Amino acid sequence: MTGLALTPFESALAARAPAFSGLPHRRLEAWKWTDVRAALREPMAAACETVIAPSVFANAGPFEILVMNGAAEWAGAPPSGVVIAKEGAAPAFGHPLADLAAALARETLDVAIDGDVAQPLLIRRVAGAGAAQARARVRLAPGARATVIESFDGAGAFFSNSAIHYDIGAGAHLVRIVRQNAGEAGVETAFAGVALAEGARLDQTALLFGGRLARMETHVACDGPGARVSLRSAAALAPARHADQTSLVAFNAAGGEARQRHRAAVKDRARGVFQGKFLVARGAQKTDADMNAGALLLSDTAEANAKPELEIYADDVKCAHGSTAGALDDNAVFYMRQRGLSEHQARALLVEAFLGEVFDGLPAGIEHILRGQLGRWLEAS
Amino acid sequence: MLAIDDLHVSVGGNEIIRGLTLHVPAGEAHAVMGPNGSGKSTLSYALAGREGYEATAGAVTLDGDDILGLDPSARAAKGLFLSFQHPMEIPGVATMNFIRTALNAQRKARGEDEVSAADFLKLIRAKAKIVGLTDEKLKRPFNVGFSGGEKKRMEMLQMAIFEPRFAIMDETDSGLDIDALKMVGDVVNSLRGPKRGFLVITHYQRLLDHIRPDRVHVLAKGRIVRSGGPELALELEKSGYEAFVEAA
Repeated sequence: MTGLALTPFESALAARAPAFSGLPHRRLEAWKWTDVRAALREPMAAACETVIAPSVFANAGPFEILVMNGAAEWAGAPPSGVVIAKEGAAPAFGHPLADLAAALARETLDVAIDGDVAQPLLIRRVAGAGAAQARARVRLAPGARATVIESFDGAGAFFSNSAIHYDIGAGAHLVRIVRQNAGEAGVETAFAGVALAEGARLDQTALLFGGRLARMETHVACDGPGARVSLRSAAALAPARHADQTSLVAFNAAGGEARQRHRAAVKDRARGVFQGKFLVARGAQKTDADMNAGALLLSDTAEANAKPELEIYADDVKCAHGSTAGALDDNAVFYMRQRGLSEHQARALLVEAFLGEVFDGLPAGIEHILRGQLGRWLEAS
Repeated sequence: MLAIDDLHVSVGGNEIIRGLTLHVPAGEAHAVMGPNGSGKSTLSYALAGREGYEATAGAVTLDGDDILGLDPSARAAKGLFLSFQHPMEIPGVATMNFIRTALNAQRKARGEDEVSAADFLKLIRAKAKIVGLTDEKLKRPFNVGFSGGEKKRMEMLQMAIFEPRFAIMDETDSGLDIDALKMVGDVVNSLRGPKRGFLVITHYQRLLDHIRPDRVHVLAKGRIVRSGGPELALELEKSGYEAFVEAA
C-alpha cells in the first residue's frame, strides 16, 4: 500500500502475513496526522506478559474477558443470554490495520448476546512490551440490549493492534464504552466496525489518554432504516502524547440519525486528532446527523487537528458539522481565582467541564468511573 | 482596614489609576462614584489582582498586610471579595460544586476546617432563599441561562456564603429592578459589622438608599477628587459629574 520500502518492523510483519503491504503513513490522506509507520520502524519482538492490576471498571461489576496480548481468557459462566467462544477465522474489513489484526491474531474472540443483559461485559485488552494483534466479534440478536466496555492498557514500549466487529440486530441497542491509555511509549491502534440493522442503536462513549501514538477508529454502517448512532469522545492529552479519534458513519438506509461530539484537551507538546465523516448514500433520505468537534489548547506548543467531513448523495437530509479550537477563557479563570480557587484548581475545573460533558447520560456507575479517571489526569497534569 | 495609598494602575501600558488614595476603616461602607471611564472597574480589578491590571506604584494593605504581592486566590482567602459588574457564565461547572470548592479552598488557606457536603447544602439553601434564587437555579451550570439580575443575585449569594472581611461591589446595582436592589441592601446590611468593610462602586444614588455609606468619594480620571458624607451622593445626583471631571 505504501509504495515505500518496508521498514525492518514491516518486513517482520510481512513475513507472517503475506498480504500485508506496509503500515499506514502520513502520505496517505486518512493517516496524514497519524504516521504509524514512522512510530514503528524498529523490529519488535512478540509481546510478553505483563502484570495485571484490577481493572478501573471493577466497581461497575462487569463480567471480565481479559485479552492479554491478543489471547482471551475469562473465568466462570458469563451472564445469562451471553455466549463466549473462540474461533479461528475472521472476516476482512478492508482496512489496513484491521486486516493486519485479522491476518496475525491467533484467535477471534466471539461474543453472542441475546435478550436484555444488565451486567456490563468488559473486554479488557492489556499489552505487554512487544507487538500483539487481537480480533473480536460481538453479535447482538434482534432486540438485544447490552453494555460492552472495552479498555486498552499497556506497559512499556508496545504495538497493540486490534479489530472488533459489532453486528447489531434489528431493534437491538449497544452501549459501547471505550477507555484507552497506552502510556508514554505504547502505540495503540484499535479499529471497530459496527453494522446496525433496522431500528438498531449504538451509543458509544470514549475516553482517550493517547500514547506515543494512538488511533481509535470506528466505522459505523447504518444498513437498516431508522438506525440511531451517538458517538461521544473525550481526549485528555499531555505531555507529548498523541490520540487520533477517527470515525465514519455510513448511512445506507433511510431515516438514520447520528449525533457526534468530540472534545480534546491538549497540553504541552501533545497532539489531538479528530477526523469524522458522515457518508449519506443516495437512498438514505431523511438522514438527520450532526457532528461537533472542539479542542482546548492548554499550551502554546499543543496541537489539535480536525477534519470534519460530509459526503451526501441524498437530497432530503439534515446534516451539519462544526469544529472549534481555542484556549481557556481567562475571564472565567480569573473569576474562579477571585473566589479562592488556585489557578490549577480553576483551570482543572474548566477543563473537566469541557471534557466531561460527553459523559452526561451514561449509566451512573460508569460515568463516575470515567469522571474519576479524568479527575486523576487533571490532578497529575 | 483597607488602605490604598497613592496607587497607580496601568492597563496595556495606559495609566488608568493615577495616584489614588482611599482608606476604609473597619466597620464602614464607602461609596465610590464616578462617570464612565473614570477607572472604577480598573480599581476593582486591580484590588482583586487581575492579570494585566498592573500596580506600577503605591500600596494597598488589608488589615495592615500588603495585598499587591498576593495572587487573586490568596487575596480571596484573606477575605477580599469582588462582586463582578459582569459575572461569568461558566458552562459545565456545577454551581453548588463550584461554590463549595471555593469556600473550602478559602477555609483551607486560612487553616480552617472544610465544610461538609451536608452542612454546605443547608447553608446554600438558606442563603439562596434570602437572595431569591430557586433550587432549580442552583442545580444549573454556573450562571448559564441566567438573566443579568439573576447573575447579580448569584454574586450576592456567594458574598452571603463567604462572609468576606472586605467586599468590593462593582456596579452591583446595574440591571437590577427595585426589589433586587432592596435584596442587595438587605444582604449587605446583614453583613455589616465592626470587623467588616465595603467599597460600593456605583454610578447612581439609588443603591445608596439601601446601603447607607459612611463616606462618598468621587473618582474622576483615576483619582479621588472629592470626598464627603452621604449627602455628597445626593448632590452628585442633582449636579452630575461634569464639574468634577473638569476639575480633575
